[in-house]
Amino acid sequence: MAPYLNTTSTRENHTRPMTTARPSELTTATYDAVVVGARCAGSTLAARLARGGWRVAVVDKARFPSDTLSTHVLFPDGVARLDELGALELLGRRHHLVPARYAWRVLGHEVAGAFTPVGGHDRALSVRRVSLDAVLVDLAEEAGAHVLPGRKVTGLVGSGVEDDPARGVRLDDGTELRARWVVGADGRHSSVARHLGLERRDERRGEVAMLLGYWRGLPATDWIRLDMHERSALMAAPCEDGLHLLTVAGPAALTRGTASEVAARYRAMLMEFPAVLNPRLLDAAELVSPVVGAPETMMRGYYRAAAGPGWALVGDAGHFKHPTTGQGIGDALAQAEHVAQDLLAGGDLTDYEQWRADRSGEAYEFSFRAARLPEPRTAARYAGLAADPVAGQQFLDTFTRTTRLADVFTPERSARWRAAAAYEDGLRRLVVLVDGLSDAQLGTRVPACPLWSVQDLVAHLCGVAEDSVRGAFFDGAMQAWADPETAVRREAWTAGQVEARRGLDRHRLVAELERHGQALVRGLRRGDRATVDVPGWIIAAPAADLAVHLGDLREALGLPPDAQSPIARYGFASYRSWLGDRVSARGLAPLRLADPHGTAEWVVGGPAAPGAAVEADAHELFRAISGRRCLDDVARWRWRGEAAPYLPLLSPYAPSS
Amino acid sequence: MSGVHTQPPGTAPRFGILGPLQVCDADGRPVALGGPRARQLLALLLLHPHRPLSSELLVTSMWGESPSEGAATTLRTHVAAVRRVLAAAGADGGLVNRPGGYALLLDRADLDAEVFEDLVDRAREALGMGDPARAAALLRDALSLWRGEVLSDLGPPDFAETTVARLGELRVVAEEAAMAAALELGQHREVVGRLQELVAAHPFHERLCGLLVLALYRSGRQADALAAYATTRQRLGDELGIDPGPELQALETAVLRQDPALLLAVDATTSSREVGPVVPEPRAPVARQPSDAVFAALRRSPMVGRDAALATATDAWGEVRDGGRGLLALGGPAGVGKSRLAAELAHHAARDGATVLVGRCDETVPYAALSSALGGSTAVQQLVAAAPTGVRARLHPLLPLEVGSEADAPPIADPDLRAGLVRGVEWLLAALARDGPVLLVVEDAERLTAEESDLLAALATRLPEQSLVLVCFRDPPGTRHAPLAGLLGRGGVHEMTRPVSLSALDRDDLADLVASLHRDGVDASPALVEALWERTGGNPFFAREVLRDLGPDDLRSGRLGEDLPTGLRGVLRHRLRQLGDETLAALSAAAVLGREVELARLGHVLEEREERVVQALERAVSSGFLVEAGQSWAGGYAFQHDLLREAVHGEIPLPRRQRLHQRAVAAVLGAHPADADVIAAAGHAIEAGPAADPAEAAALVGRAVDVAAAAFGFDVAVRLAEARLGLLDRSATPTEQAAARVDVARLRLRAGRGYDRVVELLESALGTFLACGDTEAAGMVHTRLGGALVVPHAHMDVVRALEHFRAAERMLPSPEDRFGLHRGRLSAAMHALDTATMAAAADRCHAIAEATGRVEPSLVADWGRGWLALDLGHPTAALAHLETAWSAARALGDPAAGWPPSNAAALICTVYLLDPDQGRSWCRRGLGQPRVDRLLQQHDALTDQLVLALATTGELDVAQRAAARLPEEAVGRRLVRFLTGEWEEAADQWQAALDHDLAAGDRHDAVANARWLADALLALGEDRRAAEVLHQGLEIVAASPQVPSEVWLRARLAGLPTTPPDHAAAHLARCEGVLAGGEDWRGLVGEVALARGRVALRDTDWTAAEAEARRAAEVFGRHRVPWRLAASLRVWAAALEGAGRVEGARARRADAEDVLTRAGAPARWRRTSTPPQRARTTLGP
Repeated sequence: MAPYLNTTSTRENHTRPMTTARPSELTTATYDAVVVGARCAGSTLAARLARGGWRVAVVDKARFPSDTLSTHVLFPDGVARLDELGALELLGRRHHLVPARYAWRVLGHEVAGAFTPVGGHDRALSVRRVSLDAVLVDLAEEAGAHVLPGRKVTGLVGSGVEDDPARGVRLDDGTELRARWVVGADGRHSSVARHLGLERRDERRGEVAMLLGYWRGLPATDWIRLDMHERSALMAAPCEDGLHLLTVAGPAALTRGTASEVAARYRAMLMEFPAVLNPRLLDAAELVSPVVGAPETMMRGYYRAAAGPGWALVGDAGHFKHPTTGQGIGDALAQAEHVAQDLLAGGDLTDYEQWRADRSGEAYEFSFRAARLPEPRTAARYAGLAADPVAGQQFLDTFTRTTRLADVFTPERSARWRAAAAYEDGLRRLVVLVDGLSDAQLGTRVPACPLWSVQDLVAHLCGVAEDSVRGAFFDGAMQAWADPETAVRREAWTAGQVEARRGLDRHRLVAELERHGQALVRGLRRGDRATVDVPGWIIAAPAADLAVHLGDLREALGLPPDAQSPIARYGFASYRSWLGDRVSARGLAPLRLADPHGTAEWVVGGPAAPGAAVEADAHELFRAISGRRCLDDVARWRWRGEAAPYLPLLSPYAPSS
Repeated sequence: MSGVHTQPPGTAPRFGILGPLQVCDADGRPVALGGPRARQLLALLLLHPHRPLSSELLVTSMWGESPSEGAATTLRTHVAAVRRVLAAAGADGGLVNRPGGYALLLDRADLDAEVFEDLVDRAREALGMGDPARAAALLRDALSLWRGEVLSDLGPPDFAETTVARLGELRVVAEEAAMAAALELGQHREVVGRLQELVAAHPFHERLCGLLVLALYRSGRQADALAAYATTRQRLGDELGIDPGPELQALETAVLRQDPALLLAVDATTSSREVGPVVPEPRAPVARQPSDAVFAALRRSPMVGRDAALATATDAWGEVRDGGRGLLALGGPAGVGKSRLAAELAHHAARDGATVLVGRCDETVPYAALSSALGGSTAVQQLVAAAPTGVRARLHPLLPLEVGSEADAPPIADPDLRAGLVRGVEWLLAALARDGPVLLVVEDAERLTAEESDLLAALATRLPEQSLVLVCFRDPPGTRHAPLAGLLGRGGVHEMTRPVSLSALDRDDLADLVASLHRDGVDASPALVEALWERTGGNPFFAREVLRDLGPDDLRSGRLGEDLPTGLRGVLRHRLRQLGDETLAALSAAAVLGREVELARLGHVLEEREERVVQALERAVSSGFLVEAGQSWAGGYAFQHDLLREAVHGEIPLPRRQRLHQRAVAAVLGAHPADADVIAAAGHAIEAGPAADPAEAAALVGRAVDVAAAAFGFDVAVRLAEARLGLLDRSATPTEQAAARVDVARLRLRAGRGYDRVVELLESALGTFLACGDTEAAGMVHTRLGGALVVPHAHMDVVRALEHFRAAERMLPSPEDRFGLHRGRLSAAMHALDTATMAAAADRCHAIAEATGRVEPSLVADWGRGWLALDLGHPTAALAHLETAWSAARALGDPAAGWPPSNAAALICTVYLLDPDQGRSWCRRGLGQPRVDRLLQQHDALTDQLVLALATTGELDVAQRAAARLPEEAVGRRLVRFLTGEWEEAADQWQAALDHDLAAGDRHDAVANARWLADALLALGEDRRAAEVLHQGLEIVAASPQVPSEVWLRARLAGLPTTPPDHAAAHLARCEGVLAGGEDWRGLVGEVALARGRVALRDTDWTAAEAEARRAAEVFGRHRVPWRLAASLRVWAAALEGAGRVEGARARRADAEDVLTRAGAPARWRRTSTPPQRARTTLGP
């Protein structure tokens, strides 16, 4: 490389003349690097290399300014890179920019705010590519790169392997641009990659397609908002110069049909997100672009090889993530920076592929997870994120790659959030149930807890919530099955809860229930002291207890079981895991629980081969292992293997007859 | 009943609903009716005869909004039962299956309600044609059909409220018409008893009352007539808060003046006037009253602010009457007065002899509007009866009159039949239009069905000449209701449609409405109109309902009751009941959140996805409770006005409401709460009551208090802080509660709100701290209590303040370092004129400022030193200190800190230095501080100073206007009172103030009040008492110095004719001594000169007197004190007179007059101004 550096004339000498040079003159031109593609990745790379003293040519089939389909969000890390490059300043001179905060809302749970600053930037930017790319091209040109717009690459010089490294490109007019490095920055359908014969690897596909349109006349905002529903999603982003990009996403069929059908569909879908986009505002606004569709097939993810002898791929040419998470431009800028630094330092890009994989692996997976329409289950984690400001901020910071997703969604948090979601579901069911009871029903005895009336049981649940919030959940609960004395103390604990609430009328009881229950849910989500650094069962216990007692209540009131509700499923899962603990503590082989319809089965007590199996309806199994079924009856169920060793373990307080 | 007028003899109505449900067979034998459900179904069908009722409608009418699953099946069983009853009565096949549901096809003559309506219509026609005898007979027959309340055996008729109400209303109308007919027939004596019964049963029915008055009057019972009127007026006033309408009032006047017109009708039996005999109106063609009872009722209420809309409507009508044709689209929100306007137009049209057809849309009934409009008209019935068979067949879907035609109507979907229907209606309208103009009113068009929209559209383009279609619709949702939009937007129809859009009244119109409802001299205050506007958004229906509950006192005071008017509550409750559970739940959450709510927050409160919320609220929007709103990104809803929100809020059961408020806390706070959100959340936490954790709620409210106070939102801050105390009472320890009370007191002190409450709070906290032995905290509270007692206000108590300071000194460790203590003592000493303590306390404050580097203590020290310097006779130094304090305060940027120096400097300049211009400039500085207006007491005090200065410079009217906004005890108000000539009152008040000051140990204010009191007494000529007061003041300043007041008091005393000359000389000598001290005493110099002038006058030293008076005049002229300038000019004039220069004297006196006139002084000031005679008599020989 040294000879080039020494012999190449300075950039003042050739910048202006070369850009106006005729093709015939270029035929003989030799460069340090030819960059194919002059958009985000290409132009920034060219600019950086040219500033490093390299002779660089940039070829693009488009003439700028030119637009390209993109959701064009830049997070603060990307903004900082633009700033460092000088592009932000130039962009700001040409356009009115709107640095925006970011709101990510899934199934009604919102994480929103500014980002932890990167290079002094704490806001995201949404700039149309027609504006952004033009600035970057100009920047590359100003840095001394030869920009050749309106040219297609028809072939490569060299096949890009060890013996025949890439040495340049051939253009559609037959010109050959010779270079030490050929960099493909030419997007998803990279011609460089095609000529090198590079395959897509590790492909992913999302579920959604998108429709995009630009609007004028919407009120100013400094929020970029993403709102995901079960069947659709919206991204509303304020762009430069008073424009707004409104993108809707939905099932793949979204982009099908005639242009007018698609446009009508787009407008209809915009009405579906009133929480973040007031439909009335659209009456006064104007759609100033055609509605553009991005079909699902266009947004499938892949990797291609990153670099080889004499060549490298940057931006979408080498690796494509789903645009939902808006990481494309930021990654392109980061890759351009990495490649430029390595090349200017005399490196040969051998570590580039690994660097790229390390940097984007997690984000790649997440982009395609986010590109699926959310399941109701997903709500649990976003409710947690929305409730916990620390986790919420960390989540936002994953977009700037300053925090890893694994540090946001830790197992500990996930456990708390799952418990919170289950408890919330149960609480809602309980409140609805109790709200509608007559006084007589409140006085009904609960067969599963013979000493208690319905009112007493609700009082107990209220007490559990209150004590749990205070961090005073009965600490011996897990041992009570083996230790009668602990069991007696436990009885006293619950009796106290009931006693303390005697005489409350239904409304007061419900109010207390909601108050303490919601405090518990909040605490679990936020990670309040009482829920952090405690044994896992303490997290699960209130929800599991609630699940069992909801079953008791429904039984007492003659209502059908509600086995498929989130709370019941959670309760069953918790009790299964505790049963597993008892089974292993006794040193027994695992036990298989199975639904008679063969639809589900669960093995508890370890990974080894089950020593016995029992078959019953899921609801019955749950009732049995939570002590609501008589052991004699359970013994008569369909068992395979020996039931006797398991029966005493099956439930801690099973009634003996 | 005679029956001769209606049907062949012997045929009794076979179906009866005017009383218990009754079905008789052809021989008049009652038929067994089956179980309650079957009877209910039959009743429903009988209430809506001839029209198909959908099963869905029947099911909901019978079983409510959420019927059980089997209801539809059960319905079929009951239908079968009804069919059996019909068969037994000989009306086999009367119940038919129609495309729209079940329809009961009966001869009108077979149903008592319809017979009744027909009879009433014909009777009114007879009355209109001047045939009261026939009318009376018809009405007797009609009324005899009633056997009790409508369907009285089926319990409260929830399922058919409107029809039942309409029948009831019609019955009253019939009664009224019968009475009117009887009166026309000269049977006034006979009807008095019945009219008295009727008036007792319908006490608010003004026309019945009018008839009774007339009947009594014609029976020669004038006194009873007036008593009957008075009773009704009383009841209207007491129970509805309104006065009788103009007709009734005019009637009373006519009775009082024994207007012969009242009796005229008796002689002219041919006259066909309806009752209102007072204002006869010309009526060229035979006018027909629109038969719609609702319209008749509506027209009794005034119509306000609809001139433009009415003009458009009547213009359109005028064109139609003169041969045009067209369509009028009248839209607007619920309660805005569309029906009222329609009623007015209908009245107009009826007067022009038009046929008025009124129909109402109902999406559950095919062609509801047209069939009810046509079916309700006798004229139409007659036309149809005479129509060609083909036309009748075409009209069959609208008017299924012909019993015996094939049971099932042809399917309307057939385009040919539809076209036939159009032609049928077209024929009918054309036939009607031949007799005169036609007005077809289509009400409730927001419930128009698609079929009827098509029919109306086709009809509109073929309207005959002289016909107008008036389409009334609620908007929203009207213009978004597809069938209606389709009708109005269709080519051909669109061009001939004139849109009239009614919106809420503006404030002026609302004021007119208030005035129209409350005549009789009660002027509603502008505040009331404003409050009403805020609360009802200018919606006339709601405004009227609110006003109905108000008494005259409320009107004058501008108070709006907290409670929702009962009438409104009923209406709204009814409308609420019609919403589904889910809608009601969402609406409740919205009501809890506020007048305007964002969708996301609603979703949060409801724990529902927004799609569901939007869905649920769709109905709330279409029934007019909510409008879609918001200029912000998040979609939202707003209640049309506060009343609606209050109504919904009030309907939520308390525990549920509290829980909703609790959820609202989290929803409003969200991730990025703005200040307003924190405050709103705190409000919700308070409203949540026991549903909220008191400690959490208290913490949140505390945060909101800080936020509000930081933004100078003191009203909110104080309200929240007080509410927080209640929360803490439930959750905190006594000492925490006491500390919170101290916080509230501090907030109130800073905000200048409620000093009584401050003292109360601090005393309560003090008790707590003393009880638990926390002496340091108690000492702090003592300090604050003392401080609170010496802030200038009505309850200043220097004596008690000093006790508190002493207690604080005992209790606090290192009391010398306590700024609050020394600030309080400084203030107390300033009022006690205790210069030694002032000096010491100011020094302490200064030292504290030095030691801590805090600005506030130095500011307070300068303030104290300013007063000290003034008291000791150094005004220049005083103002310099205050200037320093002012600069420091400005640097702090806190208006609460800028208040004391600017207030003090203004007072010193205006009152002590008689330099009101400088005083005003200080007031401007004080009042010009940003946000000073948020500090209530402080702002009032500065305004008070401004009033003093303005009044002193003679800008009396401006001062008066400014004073009007001040509390009664403001100093400026007394001065203004004095200067505007209310000397006695001013003297009394100053005397009271002086007594109060002396009792409170406030010597500073006592001296000032003594000065003013002396002036008032002098003006009243009570020189002896004035002298006593002046001596009283002098005693105070002799004991504790206040040099400027001393000079002033002595000057006044010296100038008094009763003061012995040697005393006067001594006073003057002391004044000279002070003035010679090298200070600039500004206007005060004039007072001394004036005193010297008076003394010289007494000594008949005319030259000296003239010179001193001229000098005084010059000083007062320069400092712009016209009152004293005038006094100086008069002394000058007296001196000239004494010297025999009469011309000069007259000129000076004229000058004095002129000065006072320009100052706006009342005549009293000019008349009693030392007349020459009096001057002479006091001068002695």
